[in-house]
Amino acid sequence: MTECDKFKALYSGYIEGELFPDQRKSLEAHLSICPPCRRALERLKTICRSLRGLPILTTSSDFELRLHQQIAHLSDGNSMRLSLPVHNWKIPAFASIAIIVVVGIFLTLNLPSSRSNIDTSSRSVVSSPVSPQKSSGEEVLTNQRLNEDPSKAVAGLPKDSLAKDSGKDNREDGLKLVDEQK
Amino acid sequence: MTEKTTLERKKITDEVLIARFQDGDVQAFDTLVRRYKDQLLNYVYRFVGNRNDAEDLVQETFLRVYKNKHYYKEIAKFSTWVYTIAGNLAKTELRRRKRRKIFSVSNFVNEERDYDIPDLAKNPEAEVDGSIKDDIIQKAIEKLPAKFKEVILLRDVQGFAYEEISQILSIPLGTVKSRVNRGRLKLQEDLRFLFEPESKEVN
Repeated sequence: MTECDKFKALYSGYIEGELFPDQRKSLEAHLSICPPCRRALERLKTICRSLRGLPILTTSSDFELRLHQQIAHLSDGNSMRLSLPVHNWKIPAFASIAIIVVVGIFLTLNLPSSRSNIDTSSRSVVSSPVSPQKSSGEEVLTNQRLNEDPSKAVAGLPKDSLAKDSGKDNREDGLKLVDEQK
Repeated sequence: MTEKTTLERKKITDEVLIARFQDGDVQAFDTLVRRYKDQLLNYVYRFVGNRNDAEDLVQETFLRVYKNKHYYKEIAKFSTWVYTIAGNLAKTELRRRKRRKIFSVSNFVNEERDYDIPDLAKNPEAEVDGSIKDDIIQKAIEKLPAKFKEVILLRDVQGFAYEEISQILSIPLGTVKSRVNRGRLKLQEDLRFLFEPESKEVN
């Protein structure tokens, strides 16, 4: 860094009267022996004057009107956002449908246990005198119980119809009995 | 407007007006708009170099003031807050233009050709027209790096104190003063032909 570069850092402070006394004296001593730095400082002063003297622009005549329009639009946007849940019914509708589908699948998967109960009942009517015949009324009652409370319905079923294997056992027993009858 | 009304208006500080606006007084907001719209336009225009863009950015500045009025706390001056918003929007616009420029054909054109320098070497006695001079100075400002441009505009064009510039830009006071000096030196170097066309020495 040259001597001139070191003093350039003080130019603005000198113009604005912010230098310490020793800094000011040091700079002035340099300026007295360095014409290029003197000219550079003069250009700096001229630049500052020119910048202060740049023409002042004013906003267009409809500036405030356009601003108010944008603000009004902003307010409309806010009110639209408030009513969004009412207008945007699709999302909750689809969500509801999805829930219904899931519940339906769940119930459908649970149905075989009642269907198997019905099947088991019919098999036991045909082939096995061991397990008591189920009257249609009892089957209806069982189905009703299933609809009301699956857990209770299961509890109300005869023991031999609770598990699939029990149905199988019944079949086997039934077959044996049929064979025996034969 | 009577002198009394003028005086009354001057008594009402920006901070009082923004407080009233926060309480729901929209007329206080309108007063603030009238006070700052031209100042902000000059600041933003000198930053981005385009009048229409500058007005749009100043509109956006006031919209943000309107939307975010409750974010203003009286720990800083209102002018600090509004100039911070305007400056950030201007810088964002310049960054956006720069990204757009990367993909434009003008990337292959020498930018210096856009800078119309009057041929003072041929006719040094010719006085440069005032408006041309202002245009040349404006172009020189636009070419400054953003960190010099913002401090030069706030200090030399808008007339802010160093302390407030430090708050607006969130940089230390010493950095502000250093950048102001370096920005001015850059400008005087770029505009040497304008103020001293016969100068041949090199600093």
